[in-house]
Amino acid sequence: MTLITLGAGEREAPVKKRNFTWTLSLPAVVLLAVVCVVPLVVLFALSFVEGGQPTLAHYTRILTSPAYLTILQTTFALSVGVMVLAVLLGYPLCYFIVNLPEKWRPLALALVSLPLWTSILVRTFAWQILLQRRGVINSVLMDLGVIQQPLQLAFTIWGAMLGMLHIVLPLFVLPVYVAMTQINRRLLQAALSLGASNTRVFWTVFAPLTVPGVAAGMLIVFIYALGFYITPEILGGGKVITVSMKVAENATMYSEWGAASSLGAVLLIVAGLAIGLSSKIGKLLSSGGRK
Amino acid sequence: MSATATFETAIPAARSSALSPRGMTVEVKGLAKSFSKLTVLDHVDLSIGSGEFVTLLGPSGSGKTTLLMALAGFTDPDAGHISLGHRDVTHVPPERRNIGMVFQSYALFPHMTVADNVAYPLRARRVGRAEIEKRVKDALDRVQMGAYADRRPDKLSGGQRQRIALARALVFEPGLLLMDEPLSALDKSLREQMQIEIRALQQRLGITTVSVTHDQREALTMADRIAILHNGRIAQYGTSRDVFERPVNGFVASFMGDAVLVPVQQAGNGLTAGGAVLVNAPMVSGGTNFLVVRADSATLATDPIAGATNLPGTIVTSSYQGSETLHSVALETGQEVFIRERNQGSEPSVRAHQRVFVSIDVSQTLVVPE
Repeated sequence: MTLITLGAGEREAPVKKRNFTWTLSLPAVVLLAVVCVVPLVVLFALSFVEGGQPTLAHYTRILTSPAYLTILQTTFALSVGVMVLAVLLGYPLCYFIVNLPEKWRPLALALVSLPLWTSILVRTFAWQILLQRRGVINSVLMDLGVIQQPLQLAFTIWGAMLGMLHIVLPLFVLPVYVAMTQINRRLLQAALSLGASNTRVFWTVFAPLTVPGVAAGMLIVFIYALGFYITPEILGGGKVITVSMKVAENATMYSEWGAASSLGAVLLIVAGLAIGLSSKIGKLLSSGGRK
Repeated sequence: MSATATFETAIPAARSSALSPRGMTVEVKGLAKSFSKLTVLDHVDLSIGSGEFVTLLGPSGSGKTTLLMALAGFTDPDAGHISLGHRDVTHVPPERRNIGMVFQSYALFPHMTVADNVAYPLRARRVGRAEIEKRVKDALDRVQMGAYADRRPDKLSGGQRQRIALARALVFEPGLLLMDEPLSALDKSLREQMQIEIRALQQRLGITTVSVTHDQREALTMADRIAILHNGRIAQYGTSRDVFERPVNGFVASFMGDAVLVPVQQAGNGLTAGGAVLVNAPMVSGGTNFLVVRADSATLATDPIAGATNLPGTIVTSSYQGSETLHSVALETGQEVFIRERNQGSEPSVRAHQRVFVSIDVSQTLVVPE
C-alpha cells in the first residue's frame, strides 16, 4: 500500500512548474541588444575595414604613429590624473560629510551631486570664464597683487583636468559615501575600546573597510574620464587632444569610420582591462573576507 | 552564601578571597544622562566589588545600555562620576580606560583574521611581535579556538564569534569586562552553554564583569548581583536570590518572575486580595500594595487549603505541555493568572469553567509596594 503510494508520488515529482518570470526582462534585453550589442559589433567590424577591403592598418597606425601615441598618452595621463585627484579630494570630502550631523548630510550630498544635474557644456563654459586670461581667478589674483601677469590657466592640460575633475567628483563621492555610511559604528567603537587611538582606528579599521567603495569610485571616474570629449576640447583650447576628440575628428571631418571605430575599440579595451584589473585586485585584497 | 545574608556585606567579602589584580572595583555615583528631553539615566549609584559579575537587567529603554556605554566611555554623562579602581575615569576617553568590551553582535573586524582581531589591542599597545604571538595563542586556546586563528570572522558560527570577541576583550588583561547583550544573537541551547562557559572563565580569571541583558534567566544564571533598571533608575540591586525572592516593588516582582500583581486591600485588621484573606501577611507600608502571584509559587486547589491564602477563581484554559499543565485562571479582580501543575500520569484535576482556588503558601506569600 505504502509502496504503491510512494511510486505514484515519485512519478509525479519530476513534473516541474515552468517559470516564466524571465520573460519580464525581455524588453530590456531586446533594447540592450539593439542599442548596445549590435552597434558594438558594427564598430568592431568597421575598424577592420578600409575602402571595402579587410585590413589591420587602423590598428598599426594607432600603435606606431607618434601622433596617435601622444593622443593615447594624453588621454591616459588625463584619466589617471583626474582619478588620483578625485581620490585625494573626494575621500576627505566624503569623510567630512559622513561625520556631519545626520540632518546636514542630505544637504551636503545634494550640493556634491549638484554638478550631475547641470549640463556638462554649461559647467565647462563656466570654468572657461573662471580660468581665462581676464577671467575671475586671474582678475582677483591680480587685484590682490599676488601676480603681475595673468596666469595661463585655461587652455592647458591642467585647466582640462580641473574641469573634468569637477564633473567626475560626484561619481567618486557617491559610492565612497555609501561605503562609509555602511561601516558598522560598533566596529569603530570596538577598536577604541581595545585601546586604539582615533588615528589608528581610521587607518586600521575605517579606511580598509572603504577600499571596495574607493575602488568602485576610481573605476567609474577612470572609465568616464577615458571618454571625455567636450570638457578637454573647450578647456584644453586645442592643445589637449584626447582619443575621443580624435574619434570625432575622424568621423565628422574626414568620414574615416574605420579610423574612428578602431580608436573607439581601443578605448573599450582599455576600459575592459581596467575593470578586469580592479576586480582582480579587489579579490586579492578581500579574499572573501568581507561580510 | 546563605540566603539571609544581605548583599552589601556578603558579596564583596565572599569574593575577596578570589581577588585578583584583574578585578577592578567600579564606583558609579549620581550618574545622569539625558538625550534632548528624555532622561535616560536618573542619578544612578552603583558599586561593584573586585571580581564581581554584575548584570544590568531591564526592559528596553530602562537605561541599562546607556549605563554600560557610560562605563565604556562612549556616552558622556551630564552629571556624576565613574571610578575604576581608585581612578576617576568620568572624562577619560574609551581608548584610555583599559576596559575589555564584548559588543552585541561581537563587532569583529571583518577584514582581519581571527588572530589579527585578537592581536589588535596588543598592537595598539605596541606589544612586541613575539609577545603578541604568544598571548594571542594563549587567548585563543583559553576559548578553545586555537585551530581557527587564520579564519575570517564570516567563516565562523555565532558561538565561535562570541568566543573570539571574548578572547579579544580579555587578551590585554583589562581590569573590567563589559558585555552588551552578549548572548542575544545565539540560539537557546548555545546560549545556555555559553552562559556557563563565560561564567566559568570569568570566575577563573577573577575579572570584574558588567553585562547587560533583558533576559532575566540569563541574569539569574550568570550574575553575582543583579541591578534592575527601570526608567533610568536602579529599582533594586542585589543577589539573584534577593531580587527574585524579595523584590522591592511590583515592577521588580513582575519583571523577575512573570508574576501577576493582585491589588491588596485593608479589611479590618487584616488584608485581602482578589477576594481572599491574606494569611499571615507580611507588614506592608501605606499606599498601594500588591500580592505577587507567580506561576511556580502558587498551586491549584478545588477546596481552600487551610493556612494558605486562597484566591477564588475560574479555570479559563488548561494546556498540556508535556511534563506539566499550564492552567489559566480568571480571578475575581478580572486578572488572569497562570498556574503550573506537574503532570503525574493522571488526567488533569480540573476542567474549564470549574471554580477553583489559587492557593499560595505562607512561605511564598509576597506583598510588594507599587
